[in-house]
Formats: sequence, structure tokens, C-alpha cells
Amino acid sequence: MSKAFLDTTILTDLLLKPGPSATAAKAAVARFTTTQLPVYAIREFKGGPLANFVWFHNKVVQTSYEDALASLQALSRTLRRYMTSTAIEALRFCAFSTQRERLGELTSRYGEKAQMTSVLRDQYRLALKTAILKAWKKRRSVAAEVVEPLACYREVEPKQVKDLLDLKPTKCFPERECCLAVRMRASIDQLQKLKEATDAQAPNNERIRRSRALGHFLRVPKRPVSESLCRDLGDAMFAFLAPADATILTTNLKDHGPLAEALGKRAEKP
Amino acid sequence: MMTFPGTNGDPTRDLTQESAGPPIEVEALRLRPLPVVVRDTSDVPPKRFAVVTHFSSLEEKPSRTATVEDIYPRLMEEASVLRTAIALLGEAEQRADAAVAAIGDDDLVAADIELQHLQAVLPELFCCRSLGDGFGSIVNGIQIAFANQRGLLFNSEQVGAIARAVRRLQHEPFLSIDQAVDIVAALEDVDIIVEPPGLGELADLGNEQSLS
Repeated sequence: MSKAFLDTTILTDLLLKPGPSATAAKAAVARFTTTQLPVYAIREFKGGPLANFVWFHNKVVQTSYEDALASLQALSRTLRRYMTSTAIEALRFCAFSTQRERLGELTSRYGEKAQMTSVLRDQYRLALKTAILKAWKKRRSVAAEVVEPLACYREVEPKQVKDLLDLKPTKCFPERECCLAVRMRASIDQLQKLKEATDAQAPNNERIRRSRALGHFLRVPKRPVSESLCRDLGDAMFAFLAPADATILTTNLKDHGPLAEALGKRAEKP
Repeated sequence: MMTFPGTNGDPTRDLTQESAGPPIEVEALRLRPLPVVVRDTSDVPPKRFAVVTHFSSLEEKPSRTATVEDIYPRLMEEASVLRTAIALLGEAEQRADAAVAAIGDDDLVAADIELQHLQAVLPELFCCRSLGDGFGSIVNGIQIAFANQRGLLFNSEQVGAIARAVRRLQHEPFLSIDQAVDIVAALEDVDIIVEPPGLGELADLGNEQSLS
């Protein structure tokens, strides 16, 4: 029996990236007899990809669509996560673009509701809102079972506050320390291997954070494990939590591969 | 003369502090200054009682009669939007059903013609989105689906799903966004892409750490 352990990238492809990415992820999932989704992936998904969608939705609500796109370009530069010009151009896509003349005719009857700026803004606002709510609703149905519940994390659904969407809380709220701390202390040798695997890779922001978190834990394992330390472990947590007989399914094999290998586990791309 | 029978002649008596009693009658005279008592009752829970106003010396007749449109302009506007939406949805449903039938007969050209007509009503239907975000989400999803097809024909399963979505909307134009999400998800289940191209790229923009 084959078992897939889904990471956040697969969850994201399935829920937020319709088209080739979702199709590839679905096909990959279908190759396994059973699939497991850890709650840690849901937590990461909500705090990352889904939060990006909510950020853009709220920008569209509060500004014009053109201004929202300008904010997106600026943020993309700041984060050094350049969206390709093709992607930005794609976002300029408008289902009405071929029907501008028809809209002109409708303006006399529907006023503002038929004006291009209003139509475009509402088209993206509604597409984003639907995508966000749909992704949240379907999150637990992408795998055969949801595993590794986190006692300090609550899956609170997105709320609408006025016209804006609010995802909070996106973080865990541990009482004294992270609910995984006891298991981590019982597996010091595994965490040591994960740190070695992380340090063997070329450093980037994510790996530096992960190495620092692992190093901190290994130096003072008795110190309470904070929410931010658990969060910084990121991909290492999937290698740590995945059952020995499971394959970690991810689009980020570059990071997951060495981590899984360090613990004698497997990682695979769709 | 102004009397406040329900207050035993004391206009400053706080009725909100008392239990509901018999209807209170307020007799008002036109063109005569009335005593006004302003009291902050924002922290007092409202009590229910009927107020009947008598104008004992009505000398002037109203110059014009207010119509329902004057009193509820927004309501009338919404009713007009609803009528238009229902009519357009009826047309869309017929077109979708005809397309399903044409696909069943292997007449793909006829099916595509029906779908072209269906697509043509969508911009006007989207102008009716003041009916609610649930309504707007479904019309938007179908509209984007057509654009994503880039002229290619939907298969029979997909047309069937669109027909079901249109039918549901016609029966429940005020459905909630939560209900609409399920209908849009059903479209996705038959491989209809209901999101604009490029939207998925947002997911890779940053992660929790970089955004916070």
C-alpha cells in the first residue's frame, strides 16, 4: 500500500492554482493508495498562500483594480519574489475585454454597475473571495485523512469584516510551549540530522531560519519551544512528522528531498 | 393643544422605563410649536407600544401623493434588477439546456451557437450583481469560465454543470456566498476553470514570515 504525505505546496496547487498545477497535483495524489494531510500544512497554507489572496482581495476592495495591481507589483519587488510580467499581464486579463462595446450600451441602463472600472474591480473581488472561501472549505477534503492535529492551533474560518476578509488567527497559541515539543525532545537525534541536512544546502532566508531554529532547540532542548520556533522549522517539520512508510509529496523537492533523505524517508514531485 | 394621555399629562415621563400599556395617543396641531423633550435613551432597552397620531385641524390637503417608488426607491430598483435577472437567467437556462441537447445529438455547431447566446447574456447578468455576492460569484465564475475556454466548446458534462448552476440561480437569486461557493466548486469538479489566469501566482508571492 502506498501512502502520500502532502506538503503545503501540494495543498496550494490543489486549492488555489487551477489548470496545469492542480491537474498535476491531482494526478500525483491519485497514484497513491492513500493520502494524509498534516494540520501543519493547513496552518502554513492559511498563513502563507491564502493570506496572499486575502491581502490582494482587500486591496481590490479598498482601491481600484489598477491600484491593487500596482501594490502587487511593488510588494513583489520588495519581497524579491518577482511575479513574471506574464503573470502580471495575465492578472490584467478581463473577461469583459472583448465586450467593451456591450458594456457601453449597458451603462445607460445600469449606470455605475456597468462601468468598466466597477466591473473589473467586482470581477476580481468576487473571483478572489470565491477562491478564498472555496479553498478553505475544501482544505480537508484533498486527502483521504487529516493527520497530526496540533493542540495549540485552531482552524478558524475566514471572517468578513465589513467588505474585507480577515483570516486571523493564522498562528498557534501554545499554552506553555508548542504542542510538538515533547515529541521533538524525544527525537533529538532526528532533529540533529535535519539540521545537518539544512546546513549542507546553499543558504537562503528560509534555510537560515530553519537552521537557526534547529540549532537553538538542540542547544537548549529543555527550554520551552515557542510558536515562532515551530513555524521556522517549516519543511523540516514535514520530514519529522511523515510516517516512515509514507512519501512526502511536494513541488519543492529541492528542500524536502535532502530533509526526507536525512531521516531515511522519501520525497517526490508530482 | 397637545396631550400625552399615556403619560398622565406629564410629557417628560420616561415611557421606556415602564411596561407596555394601552396605545398612546398623540394629538398634534399643525403650525403650532410643540414642546420637544430630548432624552438620551441609548442605554435603555426599547419597549413596544403603539403610537397613534391624530391631526385634529388638518386644513391643508397634501399637494401630491407619495408613490411606493418615492418611499422605497431602492426597493423598486432592486425589484427591477431582480425582474431583469430572472428573465436573463431564464434565457440562459434555455440556451444551456438546448446546448446539452445539441451535444447529445452530436450537433456541435448548434451547441456552440446556444452557448454563444448564453455567453452574450452574462455581461448584463453581471450588472445585476447588486442582488448579492452569491449571485455575482456564480455569474462571474461562468463568465470567466467562458473566457478561459478561449472559444473552445465545453463538453456535455461541463455544459450540464453550467445549466445546473444557472437553474439554481434562477430559483435562488439571493443565495448566500457560502451556497455560491459550493456551486462554483461543482463547476470546478468537471474541470471548468472559474478563476482568472494569473491569480494562482499570488500564492507564491511570499510566505508567512516574509509578509509579516
